[in-house]
Amino acid sequence: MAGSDRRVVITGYGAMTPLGGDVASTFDAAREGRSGIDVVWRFDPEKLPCRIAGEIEDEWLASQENGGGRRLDKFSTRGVRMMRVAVSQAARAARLGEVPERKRVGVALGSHGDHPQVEELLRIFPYWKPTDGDPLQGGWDIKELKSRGVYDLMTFFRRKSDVATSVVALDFDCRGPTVSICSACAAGAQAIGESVRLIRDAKADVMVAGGCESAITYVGFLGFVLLTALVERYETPQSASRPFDRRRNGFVMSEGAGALILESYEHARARGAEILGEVLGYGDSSDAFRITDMHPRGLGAVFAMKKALEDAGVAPGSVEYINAHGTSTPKNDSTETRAIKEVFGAHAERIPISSNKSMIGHTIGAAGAIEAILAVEGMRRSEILPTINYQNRDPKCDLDYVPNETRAQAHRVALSNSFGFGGQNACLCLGGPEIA
Amino acid sequence: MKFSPLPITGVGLVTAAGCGVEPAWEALCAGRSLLALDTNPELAGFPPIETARCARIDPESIGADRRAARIMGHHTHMLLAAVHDALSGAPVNLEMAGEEVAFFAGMDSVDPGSDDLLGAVRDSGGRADLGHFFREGMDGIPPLWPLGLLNAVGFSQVAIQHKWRGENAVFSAGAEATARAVCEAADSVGTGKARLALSAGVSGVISPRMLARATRRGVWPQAGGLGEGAGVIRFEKPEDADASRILGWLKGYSSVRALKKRGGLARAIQKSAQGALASAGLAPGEVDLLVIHGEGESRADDAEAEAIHSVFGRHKPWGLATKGIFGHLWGGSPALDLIMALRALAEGGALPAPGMMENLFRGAAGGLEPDEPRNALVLLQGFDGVCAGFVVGKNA
Repeated sequence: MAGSDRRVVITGYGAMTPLGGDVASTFDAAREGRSGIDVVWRFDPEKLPCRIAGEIEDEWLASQENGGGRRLDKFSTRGVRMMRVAVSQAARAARLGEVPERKRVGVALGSHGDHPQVEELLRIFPYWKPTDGDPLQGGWDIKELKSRGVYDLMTFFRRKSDVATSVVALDFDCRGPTVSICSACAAGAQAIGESVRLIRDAKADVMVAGGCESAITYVGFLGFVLLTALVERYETPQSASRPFDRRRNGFVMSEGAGALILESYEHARARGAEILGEVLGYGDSSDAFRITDMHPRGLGAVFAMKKALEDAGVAPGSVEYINAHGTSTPKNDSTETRAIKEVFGAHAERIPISSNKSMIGHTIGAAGAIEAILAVEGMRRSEILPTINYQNRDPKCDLDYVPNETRAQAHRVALSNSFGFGGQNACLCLGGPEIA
Repeated sequence: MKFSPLPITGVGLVTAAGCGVEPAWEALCAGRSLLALDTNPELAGFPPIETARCARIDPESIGADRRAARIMGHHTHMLLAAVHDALSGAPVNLEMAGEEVAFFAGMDSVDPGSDDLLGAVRDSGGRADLGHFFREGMDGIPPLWPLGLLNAVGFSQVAIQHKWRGENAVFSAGAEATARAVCEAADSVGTGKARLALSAGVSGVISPRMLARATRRGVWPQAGGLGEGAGVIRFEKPEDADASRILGWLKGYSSVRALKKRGGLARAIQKSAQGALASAGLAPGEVDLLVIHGEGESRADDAEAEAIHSVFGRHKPWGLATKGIFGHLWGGSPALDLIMALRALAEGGALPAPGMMENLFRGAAGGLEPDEPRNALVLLQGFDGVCAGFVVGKNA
């Protein structure tokens, strides 16, 4: 079958999060309500108002790397290293290496490249040669910078926002379409959505989709600190991320990667791949309101959810779970609640809604992918992950947020919301594995 | 699969020639290169390079909110200006709801400028001091610049300014990102998900970091000069389009990734050209104008010449190349080339590619040649071997 009526199924996924080195261990930790948040150790956060994050231990990351594709290590940022781990897990599950037609295998990933780091700035600072007595006027002594070897020129490459896609395409021999998306917190979900479009349009049979992010650095924190978007008041790091709770006061930065192998239903069936779930529909929109704030009525979120349902051909009453964006910021959670009510009407009160960010924190460009994976894994296990740290009811957030404990409940259709900083929104409508 | 032609109802452009299509077209017609040796002290450590930089743009002159402008850089200004230009001749129907307008962009990486870097690490005496940074770092950094480095921020500024709430994505980096943006915008309108869609391509801002990346890519200094700029192409549903504003039609497109083997690039260019022609339902002989990628790097140009020979055989379309005039705009190049192709079709003539692959084209002597070209094929090459072809047609 060719064209836009192709179904797109999920035949493999992998993830690396502060809760676990793969999907199973992440889900197992989350179903127990464990938090992956702790005091930042990768830089000194002493002077910052937020000193916690969801970090992945270096040893843990190193132990998960399979040693393949060493020639690509020099291009790999910390986020890309996580991405490669997640993709290798997904590829193994989907038996991606057995797909013979590599030109029909593409890659679409959400990521943003590395931030410039303070240490990096300091290393190159002595090679700035001011002129005319003005320290801001002058030029870089590139020749000296290179000859001294104090600065790895690969740093320039690693800042490129498409480095994850390029490295994964090379590492996993994917010769089909490549797409790099940098829409902040919506990037991972948009990468999945764009992959669905490419498969439906018969531009590819298989897509490696997902996202990665590792921005737990001083500069990575700084912008969000200036916006006062990060949590500043908390009793313990583990209780800081509290989506939909009345005492929520900001999000917790985190890092990780999530990867899915998506393919056309016919392609998956023809090669006997196990079908783990299906992307039934995708909707995207823009708030077109403010860079730093969601639209107060959640207009963009409403459009994205409605479009995903329409694209999937699913009635609102058929949705049995919503994996919320749920950042734990005062505005996001109340606005998302309002948007859900507008889309689902009275049915909103009957839909379990939970936020994985209560346990994992916010992995920015990876969040949409990781959360879509956990939503599908939940459908496979007939379990809905909880929103932990939910203790105080907020009158503006008055739906069922699956507070604090995993709920055993079979469900077949779920939405996964991702709303990006700047106003880009994405919503995925996901189906369980029973379609196989 | 045959593509249903889509009307192009507006374009916007910002290049070193200035804001708008006409200054760029005039430079192209005159064969007047905008490239010049870059004497900016910031680039003093690099080998000499020719660049064609865009003049700085006052954000308020293009309708940007003063408060929002705090987190905008030149990169975002170019995008805003190109969108402003695209809408100035053909405003969006005010009855159209924001969610009916889709917006996609391919944007090159945003780099921090020297001012940002130096402000971040200097103490009050002008010395680099890590301790100072961690104690008072926030005060030394221009407000919100870490966020301004996100492509999504620049992209969202445009959506906010124009209240566009439909389908959207920002791709990065290079020509393939903009090619994807054009495809997505066309698909959005073609499948009825949007009534109007805009696709944009934005170059990076020339800086030491950009040059270093180009060096690592092996595309400089072998390749020609670098340029700055942005272009926007606007599609509408045929039934919505005001016939008097149709500039041309997108008739087909295709993209192919080159394999890492001998002849892989030439084969990818050939297949992307043939795929674009097939989707447009055109034979090679029906192509009157060929806009080549022509980046001035010998391996890429040789591969492109080989591919053109194999696709067109003895047929010689008119030729056009922009990089000798505007430099290589990377993410901005596909938009610039598509817009120049539309302009050439509208003009009823075509331009040669001076000094480049003259044996492939008609009219190599230079200057505008009278003709009635109807269809143009635009070829482009992105990073990592992605090749794409777009077919645009004259408005009949």
